[in-house]
Amino acid sequence: MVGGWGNPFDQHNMSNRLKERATSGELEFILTTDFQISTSCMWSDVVLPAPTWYEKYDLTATILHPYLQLQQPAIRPLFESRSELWIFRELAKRLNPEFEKHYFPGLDENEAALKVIELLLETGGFETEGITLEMLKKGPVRLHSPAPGDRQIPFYEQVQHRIPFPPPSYPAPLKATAQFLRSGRIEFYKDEDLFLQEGEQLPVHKETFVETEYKANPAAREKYRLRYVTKNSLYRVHSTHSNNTILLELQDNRAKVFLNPGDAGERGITDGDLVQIYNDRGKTRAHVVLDPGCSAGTAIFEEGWWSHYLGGESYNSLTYPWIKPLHEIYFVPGMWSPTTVWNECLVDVRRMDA
Amino acid sequence: MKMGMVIDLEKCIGCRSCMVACKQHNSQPPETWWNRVFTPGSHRHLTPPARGVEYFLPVHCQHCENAPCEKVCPVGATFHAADGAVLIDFERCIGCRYCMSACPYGVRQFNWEDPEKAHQRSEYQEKYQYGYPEDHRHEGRLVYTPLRPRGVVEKCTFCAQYRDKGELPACVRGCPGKARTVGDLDDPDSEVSRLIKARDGFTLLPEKGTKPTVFYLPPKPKEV
Amino acid sequence: MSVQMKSGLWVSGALFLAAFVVWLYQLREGLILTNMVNSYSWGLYISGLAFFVGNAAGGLVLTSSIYLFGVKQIKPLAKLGALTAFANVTAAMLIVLPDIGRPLRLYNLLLHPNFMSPLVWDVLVLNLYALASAVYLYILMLPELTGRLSWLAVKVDNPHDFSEKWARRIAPVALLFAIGIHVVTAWIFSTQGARDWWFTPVMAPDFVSVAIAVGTTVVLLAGALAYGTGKKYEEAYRTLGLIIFIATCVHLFLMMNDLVIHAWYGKAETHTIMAVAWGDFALLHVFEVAAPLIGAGLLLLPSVRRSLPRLALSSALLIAGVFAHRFLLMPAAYNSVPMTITPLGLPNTHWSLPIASGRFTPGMSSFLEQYSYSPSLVEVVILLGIMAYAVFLVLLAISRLPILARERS
Repeated sequence: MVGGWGNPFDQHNMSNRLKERATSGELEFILTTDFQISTSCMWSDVVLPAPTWYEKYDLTATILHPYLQLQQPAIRPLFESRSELWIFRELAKRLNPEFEKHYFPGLDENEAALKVIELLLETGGFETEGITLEMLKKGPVRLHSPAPGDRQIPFYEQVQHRIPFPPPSYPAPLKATAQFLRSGRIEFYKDEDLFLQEGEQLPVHKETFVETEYKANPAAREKYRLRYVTKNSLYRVHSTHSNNTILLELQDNRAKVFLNPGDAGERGITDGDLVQIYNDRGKTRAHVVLDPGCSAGTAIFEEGWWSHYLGGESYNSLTYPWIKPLHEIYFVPGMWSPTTVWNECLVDVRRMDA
Repeated sequence: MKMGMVIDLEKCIGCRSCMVACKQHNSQPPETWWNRVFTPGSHRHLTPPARGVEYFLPVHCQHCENAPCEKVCPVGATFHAADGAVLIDFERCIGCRYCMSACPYGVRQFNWEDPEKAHQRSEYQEKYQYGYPEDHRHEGRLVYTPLRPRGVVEKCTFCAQYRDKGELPACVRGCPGKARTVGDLDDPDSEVSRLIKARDGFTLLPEKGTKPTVFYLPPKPKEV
Repeated sequence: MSVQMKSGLWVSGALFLAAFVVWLYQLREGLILTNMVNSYSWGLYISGLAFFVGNAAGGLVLTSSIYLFGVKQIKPLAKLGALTAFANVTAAMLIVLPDIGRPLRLYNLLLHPNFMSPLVWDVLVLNLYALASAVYLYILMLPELTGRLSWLAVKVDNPHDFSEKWARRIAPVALLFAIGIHVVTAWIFSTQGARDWWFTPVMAPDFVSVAIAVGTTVVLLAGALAYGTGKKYEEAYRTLGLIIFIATCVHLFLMMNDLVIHAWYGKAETHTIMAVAWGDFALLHVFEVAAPLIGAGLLLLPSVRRSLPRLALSSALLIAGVFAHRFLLMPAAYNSVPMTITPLGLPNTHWSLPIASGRFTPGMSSFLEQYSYSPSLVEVVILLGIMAYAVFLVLLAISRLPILARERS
């Protein structure tokens, strides 16, 4: 398992299964690149030090705005870290000397990175048409879009130019998503056998957990009465900066779980108590905050805590990537796991000193 | 020229960037925070109070015109700069902490030990340094130094090391919501004066008679 | 020198030395060795300041009463009074030293004194009191500085008359300072509007009354230990007991007055303070009221005054109660942070703004709204050491100077 720019041993659902597979040897070899010793690094056989964003060139885009940005090094990589481009170039050529030619050999990592960026700009399609490295060096550059003035207007081509739906939905290639929309139109009714069988041929509301948690374990209805919802924390970007001492001080150095005061009262829990959050799949721990804004029947946890701060028990040991029957035909793998249904999860909490 | 600051509570989103910018730029040791942002009425920041209004309140030294801390300092280590900021002379402070008892806002922090020892205690990486790297003197008095000696008091200086060069304090620059403004309270046309007048700016604990130069603009009432 | 005197000197001397060494350790590590935090920034040491200042009063109140008001029966205790005054006022100044973050910079007090600061006034008045009590003691001892000690004596024609004359002249000045040190020490606290527990006009008169009560008790105890409880000193002790009792009643009256008006009016801030004072510290508060009252009451009884153990215990009870009173200056002022506001939309509530603690303690939050302080071992050792210093000084003076000579013979 080769990883970089991520922390699957904390952030992947069923992260405890990952740990089990590492321990049993089923995952024979784990390599991670990172600039902090994250949980995934701790579980790796080999850790290669990567630099931060301000020590290398990179091209940045996001679904949140239509600008392309050039990431530039402010300082040289610190200590022994090298850019991931260099790392993978060196690994590639040792696996097979033929691979090296794809990585602009002969150039140092910064020059090679710039060459890669030029390549991406050239082959990026109409969105990067005419955008050059020189333009990016001056500042963010707006990507092109089919709409006039490069404006972000959804379905512009489909409406104006009668191009069939769906529009591209990155990162999946158009071919992968287009196969689900044979009519080329927005469909409210899916005239397909499996949809009809599941009763989902029209948009329909289905009660949560009936086809997932309760189906897998009917006792869950009584045993695990809280929805486990993981929100983002102010003090992190997912799991990056989980170990930042200044930001930890702002959090009182403690992981928290937010409970509705009624639910807490029922369980004899008061604000500040250390509780275990548990279900059949795993457990973790946090200190309780009574939150009047938290709906009854919900336990809110802040995603991104490294297991180190949770007594070694990842908060993702509780989650599960449920697969529904419709995924047989209607499925594009998610970036982080087959299905990204982290919040379809039931747990309960109890005081740890009880 | 009377320098003042206006903090717009309508724009403050409680992100605490100003807390972190202040702490880093001024090289504050672990557990020392000159600038604090909390959610009034709530027991935990960003958890809204059960009733009332959810808003956020940043508090640091109010640079009072009638500063009790300045009055009680036995050696005159706490003093008013020409533009009205209240500063501490790190070479004169004897660490008696009378000023800490005197401040109604609780903004003053004490160096209970060497900052380097404090770093070790909180397991910072050895020799990790941060903050403005040089000493700064205001009218000859040492008002900023990256590693304060143990046994002296410290607090917000409105970033004297930046303002004396014509730059804005770290909290002002670090605020993503542009909630903070610095200006001349004596000038009726300055932005701070106009904001205070137009938006009913208020001060904290006015009944204590300290005459703070930090003003707050109330958040606008929300439609439900 | 008697065995008791010798062992007394050794024990107190050793304790004082131990405290000095511990102070050097604290100098090196910083005040992190105490249990104070940013929100609770004065503790045992400053309680000690108030305590020793109170004890110091007795000496010169007593001594000046003799010469100003002609209370002749306590004349035998005059020198002892001046001595305990000097010992306690210097102890008061010494106990502040470990509370100073950078004591080597104290010369700044001489170079750049800020005359607006009650601390500067206190430094001035405590030093003047120390000088006054030393001078007073000297004048009182002058007639007996003969033989081995004659080199200390200033050459005058009639030492006895000289002594009487100057004692009478200094008496009003001494009394002024004796009242002054308490008023000024009280003003250190009572001028601070940030701390509602302190911000009351009653504190200065209360300090004066406590000082008269406890200071006189210190002299009474010292006298009884030095001279015993024989018939010769019955009148003296009776007078002292009366002074002590009246002063204690005045003190309790002033304290109750303050509490009644605040409790009656019922401001929200008052409730928080009262919750600390009468909630967490209820027992100690009961002690600080009951102990001096019971001690003073007992000292009114001739049977108590005639028995050294009973007199000593009653005195100790009063002194302990006063020490509790001094300690209780702090919790209601610092336990809860000073800044509370009424949040928007919650008109009748109060919310406190937490303060960063300033020191890392595992398991404790970085930001505190409440902090319950109890002194660390370092603080206790240093305080005991300064108490030992006062005892040591008194014992040393008694063994080397004619403090007790004439009265004993």
